[in-house]
Amino acid sequence: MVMSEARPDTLKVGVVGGGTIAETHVPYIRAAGGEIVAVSDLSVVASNDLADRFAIQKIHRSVEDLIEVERPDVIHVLTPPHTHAAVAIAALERGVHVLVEKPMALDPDEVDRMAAAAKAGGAMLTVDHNRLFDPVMLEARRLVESGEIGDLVAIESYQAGTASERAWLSTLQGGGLGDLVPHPLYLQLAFLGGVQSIQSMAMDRQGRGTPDELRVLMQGDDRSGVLTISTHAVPHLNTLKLCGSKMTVEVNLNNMSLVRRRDYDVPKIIGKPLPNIDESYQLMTQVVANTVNFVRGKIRYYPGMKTLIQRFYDAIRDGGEPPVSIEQGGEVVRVTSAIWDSLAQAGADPRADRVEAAR
Amino acid sequence: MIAFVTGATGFLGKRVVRRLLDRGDSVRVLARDEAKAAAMAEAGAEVVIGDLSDVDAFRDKLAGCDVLYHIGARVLSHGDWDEFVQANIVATQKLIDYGLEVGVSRIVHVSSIGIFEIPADGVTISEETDYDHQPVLRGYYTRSKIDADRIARAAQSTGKPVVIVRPGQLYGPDAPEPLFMGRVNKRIGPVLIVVGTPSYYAPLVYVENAADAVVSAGIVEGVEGRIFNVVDESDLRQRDYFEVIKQLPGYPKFIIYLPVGLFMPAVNVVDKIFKTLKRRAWSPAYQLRRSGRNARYATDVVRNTLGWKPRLAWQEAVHATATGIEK
Repeated sequence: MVMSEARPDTLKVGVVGGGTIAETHVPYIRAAGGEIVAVSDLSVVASNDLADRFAIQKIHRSVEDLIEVERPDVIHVLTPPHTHAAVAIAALERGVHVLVEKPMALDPDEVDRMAAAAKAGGAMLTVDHNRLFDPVMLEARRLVESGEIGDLVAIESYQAGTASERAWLSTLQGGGLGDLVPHPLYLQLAFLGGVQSIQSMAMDRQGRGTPDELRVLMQGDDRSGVLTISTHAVPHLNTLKLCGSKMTVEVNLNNMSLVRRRDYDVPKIIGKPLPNIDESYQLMTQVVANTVNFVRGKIRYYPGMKTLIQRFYDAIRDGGEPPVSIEQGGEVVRVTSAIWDSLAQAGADPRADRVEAAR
Repeated sequence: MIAFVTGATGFLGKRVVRRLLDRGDSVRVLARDEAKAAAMAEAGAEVVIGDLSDVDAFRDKLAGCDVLYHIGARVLSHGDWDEFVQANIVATQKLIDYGLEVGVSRIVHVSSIGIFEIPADGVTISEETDYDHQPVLRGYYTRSKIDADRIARAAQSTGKPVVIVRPGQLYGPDAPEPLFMGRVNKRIGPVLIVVGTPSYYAPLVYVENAADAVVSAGIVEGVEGRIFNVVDESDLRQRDYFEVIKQLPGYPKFIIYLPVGLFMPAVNVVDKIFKTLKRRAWSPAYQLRRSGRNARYATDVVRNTLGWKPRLAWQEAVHATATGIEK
């Protein structure tokens, strides 16, 4: 007995990795018309746990078993970052489309091999740069693409957060701090264009031998970007500022708000309070709209992931372009490596193992 | 043949061991203490002291065995989830891994028919029916048995020589309430109160019949990778069963059937309290709703593929249970 009668356009989906983020993917996979055929994990406790919570019928212990037995159309790679490349390549080579969690890979070499496997297998590869598809980000991108913002001059992305303490973080450049980099960096790079030069600064405020603060200054084609990652600043803001020749847009990704700051051709006496009134009005209307949508169940956490998965599945069905291309994903990996490499060359090596070795 | 049996001292396991010894097989039995397995040792079994919570401690004893019968499980209704994880989930995976590693040629995993999704009233359940869609609401034991079954199926799907046997509700002479179908039905003097309507299917299997199926699953050729749901009689209804019970000397003469729906309001209240207190990881209301759906269990696969049939028909098994004598 199957759970539901398969629609002709239903995609067979395999979930690889039964960890926390899988719980967010599963409902969106089903909402996008995916039938989850199995979850695989090295740990049968983890795979069963996800299966129990979401009525997934089958488990496997490797991506190879999952692919050989279930013949999925697409897999979601939700394993620790250092396994992304191997798992994705195993699937792509067999012609299975892949959505890989961020970060796409550990280094540009892995990206190249993933791209080659996608080409060889004739399969599509995309990266879960989900924030790009949050409703506020879709609006920000529209403002840039339509020219409403004017010429884009500067981009500032800011992320404050707690460095988590998962075992696999030691495999990432920058460790726990490095784990915070992908989201703000891909938001930044979506607007910056090709990166010409990078200047980075890392601090180790706690003296643990690993960086806990990071600042990066980047030069694009005709615009510049600033990336701030902090594990100390409060609150844990997650914002993006887009400065254009006609207006400046501030996106708050946590609070799901977008504020346009404009120039007003009004007498000075009104010009002081008017921007504040305008900003307050924009925020208030968005609070009301978000609340209504949340209560009606129209938005949930990680709303962009829903759109990204839907667009990826549409691309698989209709043969279109994936929501995030291999080039876009690869550029984020390349810049990430360049940031840490530039820090290493500057002598302030942020990688724990090298710091340890130097002592 | 050399067989390794987990759960060897249990209700079903001890009967499997007896059959294997009768066949002339060498049998290694897993037991938590010597006393429990004393009778088996006397009958010629080699006793391995150990616990499913620590498979590594006795894995050496799997070497040289031909068939592994995994019948044991933590069946208690209390305890921490992690204890069920170790004894029922991790142990199943390790037994399969270690067994195949040392050349065991077949593994028989004993599961249960309590694992299924019953989507609607009146459905027929087959070997391919989905697992319950909400295992978390079923309590730790059933949830862990669903997980263990999933592990066994994953092994089968990759060509491993695993056979799954899923017995129905077991009954027999030395069960605590041998003939009243579990803990739910209650006897008050000459009256037996039965939960559910007379037309409910009774997915019973006499424990000796079930033991036959388990043993066969380990020896019949060509059934590796198969699954067998085992009940004595697919079309047996509660009414027919209890009519026979009524005729037995010393058993209740009056049967009162209480539809599940009667209990629903009260159980819903209990469920709300549980939920509010976050006391338990299962839902009485979900359990009751599920047991209110009548499901028939097909037996054509176990009969046709395994060549099994009940050595005692259900009427004879009822008499044997009541009197302790198999005709």
